[in-house]
Order: sequence, then C-alpha cells, then structure tokens
Amino acid sequence: MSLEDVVTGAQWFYLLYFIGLNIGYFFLNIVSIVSLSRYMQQHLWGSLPQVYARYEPPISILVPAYNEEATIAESLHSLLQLNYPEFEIVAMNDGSKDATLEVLIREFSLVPFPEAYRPRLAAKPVRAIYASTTYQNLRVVDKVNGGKADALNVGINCARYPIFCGVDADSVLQRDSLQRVVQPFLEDPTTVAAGGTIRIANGCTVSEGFLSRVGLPKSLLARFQIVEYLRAFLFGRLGWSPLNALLIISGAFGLFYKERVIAVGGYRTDTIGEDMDLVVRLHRMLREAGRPYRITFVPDPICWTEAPEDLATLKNQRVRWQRGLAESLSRNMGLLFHPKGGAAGWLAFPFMLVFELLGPLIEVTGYLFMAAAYWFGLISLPAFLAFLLAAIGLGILLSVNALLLEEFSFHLYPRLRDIVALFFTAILENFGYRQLISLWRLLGLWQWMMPGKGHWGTMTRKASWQQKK
Amino acid sequence: MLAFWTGAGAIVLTIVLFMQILLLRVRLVMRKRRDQVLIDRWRPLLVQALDTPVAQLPRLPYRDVSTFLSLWNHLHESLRGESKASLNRVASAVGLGSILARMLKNGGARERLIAVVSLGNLRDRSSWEVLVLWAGSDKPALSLAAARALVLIDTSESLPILFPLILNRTDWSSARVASILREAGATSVAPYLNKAVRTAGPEQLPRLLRYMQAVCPMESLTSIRMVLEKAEDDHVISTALQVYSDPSNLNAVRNLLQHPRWHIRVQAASALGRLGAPGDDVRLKRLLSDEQWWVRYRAAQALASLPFLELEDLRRIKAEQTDRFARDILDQVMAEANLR
Repeated sequence: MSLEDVVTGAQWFYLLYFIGLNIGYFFLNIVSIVSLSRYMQQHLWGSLPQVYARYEPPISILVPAYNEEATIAESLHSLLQLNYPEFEIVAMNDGSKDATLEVLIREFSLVPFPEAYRPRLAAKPVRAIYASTTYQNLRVVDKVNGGKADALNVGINCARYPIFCGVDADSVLQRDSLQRVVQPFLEDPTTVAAGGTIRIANGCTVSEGFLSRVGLPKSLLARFQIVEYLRAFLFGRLGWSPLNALLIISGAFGLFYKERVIAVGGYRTDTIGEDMDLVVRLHRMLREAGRPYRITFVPDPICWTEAPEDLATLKNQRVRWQRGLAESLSRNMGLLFHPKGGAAGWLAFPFMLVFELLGPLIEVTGYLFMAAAYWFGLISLPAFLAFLLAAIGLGILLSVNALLLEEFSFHLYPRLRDIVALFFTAILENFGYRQLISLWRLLGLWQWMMPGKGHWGTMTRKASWQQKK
Repeated sequence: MLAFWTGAGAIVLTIVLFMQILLLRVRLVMRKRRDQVLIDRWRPLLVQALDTPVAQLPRLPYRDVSTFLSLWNHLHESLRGESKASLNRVASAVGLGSILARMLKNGGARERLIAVVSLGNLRDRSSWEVLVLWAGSDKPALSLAAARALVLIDTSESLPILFPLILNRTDWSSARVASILREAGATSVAPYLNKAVRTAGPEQLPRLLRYMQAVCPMESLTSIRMVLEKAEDDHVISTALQVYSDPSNLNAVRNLLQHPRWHIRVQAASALGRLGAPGDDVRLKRLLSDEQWWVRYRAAQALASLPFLELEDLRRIKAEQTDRFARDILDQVMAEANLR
C-alpha cells in the first residue's frame, strides 16, 4: 500500500466520520422536531387551568452544598417559593470549610433534629441533622466531606418522599419547574427519571432567586456555550427521549424515583460524572432485569445555570465532563449491544461511544492529519479546503438547526437582534471554539486513561446576572 | 468532490434555515401584535357579557379564531355556573359552532385540539359523533380532550362510551382522567367505578381505586373494602389501603399489619393512623420495632395522629420501649410534632 493510498484512505475515513456524525444528528433532529411539535400540542391543553387534579406526587429536593456560604441562603429561599403542592428540601452541608452551616442555622432558624437516620446507601458519616423552625419542609444534614455524589446519597437516605430532585445549589429555577418536570411521572407510571432543559443564565436577570428577564451575555465565550447548550438539549437529548434511550440527565436538575435509584446502588462516589453514570446504570440494570421503565426528557427550559466566562474554568469543566462520560460508559459496557438493551444499548450507547467519547480523538487527529497532509504536499489545497468546508459547514448547519428548534418552540430570546447575534455566534463558534473544546475533551480522555483520581477543580462564578437587593 | 459538495450543501441549508428563523420570528412578532389587538378588543366584551348581553359584537374573521378561542377557553376554565352560559351565548352570536366544525374537519393537529376543547366548553352536541371518534384516537392529547368534551356535553351518555377506554387506555394520564371524572361528578361516576372494580384485573385496579378516592370516596367505601378483603396482588392491596376511608370496618386493615411485605405493613399502619380506634395503639406499638424503617416511622406517625393519644402518651410509650430503634423513631416523630 502506497503512501498515497494511506492518505486517500484517511481522507475518506475522516470525511465519512464527519458525514456519519451529522447523519446521526440529523436523525436525532427529525425525532426532536416530531416530539417537540407533539409536546407543544399537549402543552396547549396542559396550559388551560383546572385540567389537572392534585395528583402530583410529593418530592424531596436534595441540595448538596460545599463552601456555598455566599449563595446558599438565597438558593434555598428561592427553592422554598417553588409552586408545587407538597415538597421538602434537604440541604446537605458536605463538610464545608467556610460558614455554610452557620449561615443556614442563622437564616433558617435551624435546631438539632433527632432523626432516626437510616443509611440505606453507604456514605460518609452524618454529624448532625437540623430542622428549620420557620419552614416545616426544610432540613439540613451536616456531614463529613465526601463529594457531591456522597452528599446526594445522604440526601436520598434522608428523603421522605418517593421522588427526589437533585438540584445544584447555584441553579436558578422557574417557579413551576417541578410541576413541569414531574409530568412524565404523571403520564406514565413506569417513569423512573426525568430531566429538563438547562439554559445559560449569563446575560439574564435573576431577581429574588427566579429568572425575570432573558438576555444574551456580553462574553463571547458564554454565547458560544448558549449555542452549545441549545444543540445539546434541543436535539441531543430530546432526540433520544422518545426512543427511551436518554443517557444523560443533568445533575443541575433531575427527578428520580427514589426506590429505583436505591435499588441500583445510588450515586457512585468514585466517578466525576455521577449524574450520567446513574442514568446509564439505571438503563443497564432495568434492561437486564427486563423491567418496563421510562427515562424522559422534558423540553421546557426549567433550570438556568451559570456558564464559565474564563478559559481556565471552561477547560476544567470540559475535561471533567469528558472524564465523566468515559467513566460512565466504561463502567456500564454491559449495556452495549445487550440482547435486552433496546435503543439505549443498540443506538444511544454506541453513538455516545463513537461520536461523543472517541469523537474528540477523531476530530483533532482529523484536523491535524489534513493539515499535515497539506503541509507535506500529500493533498492539494482545494482538497484541504473542501475538507474544512465540509467539517465546518456541517458544524454550522447543526448549530443553526438548534436555533431553529428554539425559535420553533420556546423562542425565549425576545429580541430579533438576539436571534441574529446567536446566528453569527453559531457560525463563529466553528472557527476555533469547537476545535478548542475538542482538544480539551481529548485531554479529558487522556486523563481518564491515565491513573489518578479525578477532581472537581474550581468553578469561578461571577453571578453578574444576580440582581442585587 | 464529496467533501466540497457536502460543505457547500451545508452552507446553502444554513442560509435557508436562517431565513426560516427570521421568517418565524417576523411571523411571531406580527401574530403577537395582532393577538394583542384582538385580546384588547374581545376581553372587555367577554367580561361585559358575563353581566349583560352585548348588543353589537364585532365580526370574527377565521384567521383570528385561534386567538379568540384561547381567550374564550381560558375564561371558560376559570369561571363557573351561569358565567359559562354567558360566554356560550357570545360564542353562538359569533357563529362559533360552525367555525369549530370546520376546524375539526379541515384543521391541522393543533387546530383540531383547540376545536375539541372548545366544543366541550360550548356544550355543542352537533359534533358528538366526531368527538366519539376522536376519543378513540391513538393520540393521547386529542383523545383525552375529546373524552372531556363528551363528558361536558352529556355526562350520562358519555360515561358508557368512555369507561371501556378509561379501563384500557394505559397511555391516558391518571391525573387527567381523574379531573375528567371529577367534572362528571361523583354521583354519575360512582356506579361505573363500582361496577368496573368488580371485573377489573390487578393491572387496572390501582388506577380505579385512585379514581374512586379522587372522585367519589364516600360512594366507593364498600367496593374498596371488597377489594381490600379479596385482593391478592400486593400493589392492589397497597393502593386499597392508601385510599381506604371507612372507620367502621377496620378488621381487614388490622389483619394486614402483619403482612410479610413491608410495603403493605407501611400502608396498613398509615391507614390505622387515619382511621384507628382505641385499641389500635397497641397494635401499632408492636410495629415500632419492625425491621423496616418505614414501617417503624409510619407506625410512630400513626400513633402520633391518633386523636385519643397526646404527646404525654407518646412519651410514656417511648419509655416502655426496650428497643433502641423504637425509641429513636418515636423521638423523631415527637420532634416533628413539636415543630408543627
């Protein structure tokens, strides 16, 4: 085989990979359009008053907190104002080194509570449990530091209701977030988990813990992430949901049937992608057991989160996400092509494996290979440019498609100039940003293969969207 | 060449999509403006019509029907009694019946759904056959909307048609079915539910029991007791215990306190907490040392909610306990009671 054959073969490989990836997304896109339009129709009837009976199951909201003294009180105050018939909040102070616990005791008039704590899921020891004398539905668990997954497991042990909702302490919710995300549990009794769309809060205005105005941030980096989130949620996740093959529910806001989560062992504490790992494990174990179940995605934008606006934090986040993805998939390989695996095992898992896990490797080497081949005169300039045109053109098409879905469904960005700005962002992100993200994801993959324990890194939060009182 | 044409095709498609986005946005802005004008015109008229008939109503062009119906339906769902009749008089005056029939026949999925909801609110019998057909549609939103419309138009005639569907449509949300049955009213629904539980299988019974609790708890006491006494399926027994509300006959509940499945012991303890009589405290005390946390917790809660036991009695019961788990759970429940 000559060098020319190798170069031609590699060209075909990379080109077909990009086309295959985009065919996959195109397929997800079609499913998303159908399910979005069906959802919007159902929403039409659901939006009429007096349609629902008070049938909603009570929910335990679990809020892990580590060094959150600056924001925890406001977060809990806004959670306490959620519109939902019956819910409790269990905040877990995960051995914070700052004054998180003191703030909670002061703000919510906490008193020690003699709870008969039952460790159904193994976790770090609980030091004390407190109950609020002002809010009957608020308890705080003070525990030895063990990480987010460990804190969530303690929260599950303390939860009194059949469904729990894991919420990041810095998440901004809509007042009706719980009512919206609980719908799959009402529609289908086999539902074991449901997640909703997470949006970027940068550029928006938040007052008294709730989102009051949607806007675009000034930071280009944050804008890139808005387009990314639209792509990820509006067809990345919505596309898999009708096939019952959704493999990720964001840790920032997700609803789970408690007993099922306990049955599969709760959150794993030895992974940094505990949210995805739990969902993949639920799929694997329920499929293996042959139990009917549904894991559903609600397209409503129900949770807003702050995106990093500096490269170092963004890099940390993406390296961590890729490691989490790698850990979740590698530990649940039993789902891949399992005879009972259904769409989760036969479609979503291989897709994630090839295009999400190995994707950065192929993308980065693809760009490098083509550049090197052109540099050494193995391919012509037109061939190199055609490759770039295909890779970048398809990337732009996908992003703009996500914008179309947003405009078709929720059209949250009120001004026309926001839409135009997002369109140009969708183009611009393909010139450097996506390649940089692929590089960081490749780094995450590398770190996963190397021995050593993952760590969370530091999230630098600006919270410029938070309206000062 | 493949790469070039793929890229070029993607760029062209991107431009087309962007044009579509702009078009959607322009249409959205125009629609919102038109909707606002329409709402500003019709809302005062509809509100006025609730008190006094409006002599001169504006014409309702077909393109404005959707917005008008949205406003009209929302008002309908928020009002009761004679006010609904006033809204229906306005609807008749603008010729809504024929417009809805047209939407039902020729409209897209969204229009059909709006038409079905509106026909129900309008109590318009002329589309009865079509609504019966839609109630059997495999689309849950449309079929449920049609089922509700039938109930609103003629409750007694709709229930024999709908009950076989209610029993067998697993894709119908229980919450929505419950609200439809509530609108039908306890007296109308109870005979059908009572009849259905006699023949329903273990997969259908839990749903039926919950409808009974939501719609006609008093009319269903005998049926629920019958289910509780005869059922063998754990899920059915558990649901029956959750909805049981007959304090005059608790033997079946008491017998289940020792059931081998802890889920059932939990529900039996809770039921005794709601309905228990003197003497049941002794039975519940035994459960304070159950091996399952939830059984201990519900038993302690049940003791705390028995009307003839005071906090002092709970302290005495705690002092009698030799089991640490029993004492701990009583501590927790007493602390909860103190916080309330």
